[in-house]
Amino acid sequence: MRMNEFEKYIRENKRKLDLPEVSPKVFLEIENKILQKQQKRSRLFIRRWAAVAAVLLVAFLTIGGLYWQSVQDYDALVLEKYGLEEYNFAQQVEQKKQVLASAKIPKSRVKDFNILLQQLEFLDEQYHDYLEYTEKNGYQEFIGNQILNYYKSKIELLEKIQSEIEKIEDYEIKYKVKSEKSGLSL
Amino acid sequence: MRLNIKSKAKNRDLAYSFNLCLVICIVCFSAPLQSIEAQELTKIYEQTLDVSENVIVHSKGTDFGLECHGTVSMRTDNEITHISDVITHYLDKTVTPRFIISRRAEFKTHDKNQVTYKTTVNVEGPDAQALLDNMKFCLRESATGTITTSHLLNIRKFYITNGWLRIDRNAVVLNNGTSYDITRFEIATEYIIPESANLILEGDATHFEVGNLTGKLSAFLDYGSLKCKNMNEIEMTFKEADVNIKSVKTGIFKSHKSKLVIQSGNRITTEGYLSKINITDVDSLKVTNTSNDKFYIGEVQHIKALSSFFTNYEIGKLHKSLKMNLINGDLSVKEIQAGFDKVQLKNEVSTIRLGVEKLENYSLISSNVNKTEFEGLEGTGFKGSQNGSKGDPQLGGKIILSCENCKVIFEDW
Repeated sequence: MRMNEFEKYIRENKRKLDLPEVSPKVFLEIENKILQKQQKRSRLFIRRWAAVAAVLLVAFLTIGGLYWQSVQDYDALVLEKYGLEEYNFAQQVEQKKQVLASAKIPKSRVKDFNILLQQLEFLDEQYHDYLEYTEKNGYQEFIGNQILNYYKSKIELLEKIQSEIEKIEDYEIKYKVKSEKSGLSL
Repeated sequence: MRLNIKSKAKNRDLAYSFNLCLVICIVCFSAPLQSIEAQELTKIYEQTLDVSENVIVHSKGTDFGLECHGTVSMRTDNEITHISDVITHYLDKTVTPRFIISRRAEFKTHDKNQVTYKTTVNVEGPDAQALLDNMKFCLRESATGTITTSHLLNIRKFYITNGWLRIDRNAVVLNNGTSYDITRFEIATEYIIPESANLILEGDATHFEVGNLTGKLSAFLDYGSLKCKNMNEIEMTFKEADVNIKSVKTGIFKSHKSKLVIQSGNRITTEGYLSKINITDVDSLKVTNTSNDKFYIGEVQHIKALSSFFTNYEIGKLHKSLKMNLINGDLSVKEIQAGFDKVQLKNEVSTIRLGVEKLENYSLISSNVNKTEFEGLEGTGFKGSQNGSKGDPQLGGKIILSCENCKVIFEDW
């Protein structure tokens, strides 16, 4: 009998005994807060890495720039030492190289043009030999002539590459040929 | 403490004054001594050796050893290297050079089976006489019939020391290790070899000169130059060098960024790049492999160039035949002579000028002519065709063309 009363009480007060349901508004707020926290963390993570990347990039560009500057300065010093600074050789070479950097040649002719690029390498090797020789044996006047000759030959060769590319382009325009193109690996 | 510092400073001043006095004394006393010792001595070394008819003479040019502790500068003028112990960075030519070495090696030839070396040495300095007494030739014909020549007799190296912490010294070191102090040293050598000798020349910045030779000349040059008279056979490789030959019967030349001038040749083969080749008259010229060279040929009987990239040719007179495969290279033949046999071209990206004015009879055969423009055929009876003939084709030679991206100009004024 007691049991029955108890059961009856339970049945009557069942609703009161149940835990109140979480209101969807509250739930949404909680969820939003969690999401915001997560987003903040990921933003912070991205920002940190972006900062590291930016620092690295700036350092890389600075070092690269300094190195490039020092190479250019060294070339300028060598030219000055031999009284050749008036010719603006280094600038001329740089200008011609920049023009060629954007030039395109037919893919079928890459192998042929590599012959000329190898000749550029040959000239640069010779130039380094001259500098090594002067470092080893001191200042030598005849090396000045070799350096003058090196720059003249290099400019001539860069001009030759340019003119040979133009010849091919002219024929392609004239005979309306469109070949698959490739850049020069200068 | 203060006292200590003061006394140390005093000691330092005393030491400095003492050193200064010492230096002044050395300078004052050594100057007159030097002037006494600075006598100039000259000696001519000459040796003649009987040799076999086909002796091999091997010259290693005018290279020299130099040991330097301190500063040194070199200047090469008129084929002579001047080595100074003072920096002449700014072209100061008033500095007295310590070593003057002729970079010229002249090989005169004669009809005797004898090799003669003549070296002139001029020395100044405390050990001048002792040095001259101990310098000698080491001229011997080996069992294989080879004589290896040395431009510098038995000198191993030149030695220079200078600087703040070193005693200034200029010396000549001989092969046996003995060294001789000098203040100035000058050397030049001449050679006389048999006309029939086989000559091998090796040299770095050496200027060789060779007389008439019926034997073979083999040469390997870096920088420097070679000037030859009438040669029988030459085989040479050269880089950044100037080569000038009066005449050669058979020649093989490998040139890298050099100049080659031949006045007259019979059979010439060339290979190379970045070079200028100027041949006045040649019977047969074979260009085996060329890239970015420039050929200037006065007259040629037969010319062949089958692997040619970016190389241009200017020919004055073509007498017999021409066969070329030119890739990105131009060809100009000013006059194709009557009696020519064949002109055969297979070119790509090329401008071809053919001077056919002197030809009354010839035939033109064009095959595989793609994207090619012809000029100058209008007036010759070809009537717009790229095949045909002028005059009697049976009596004239043939021009055979196979071109892509070319411009062919027939100069027939």
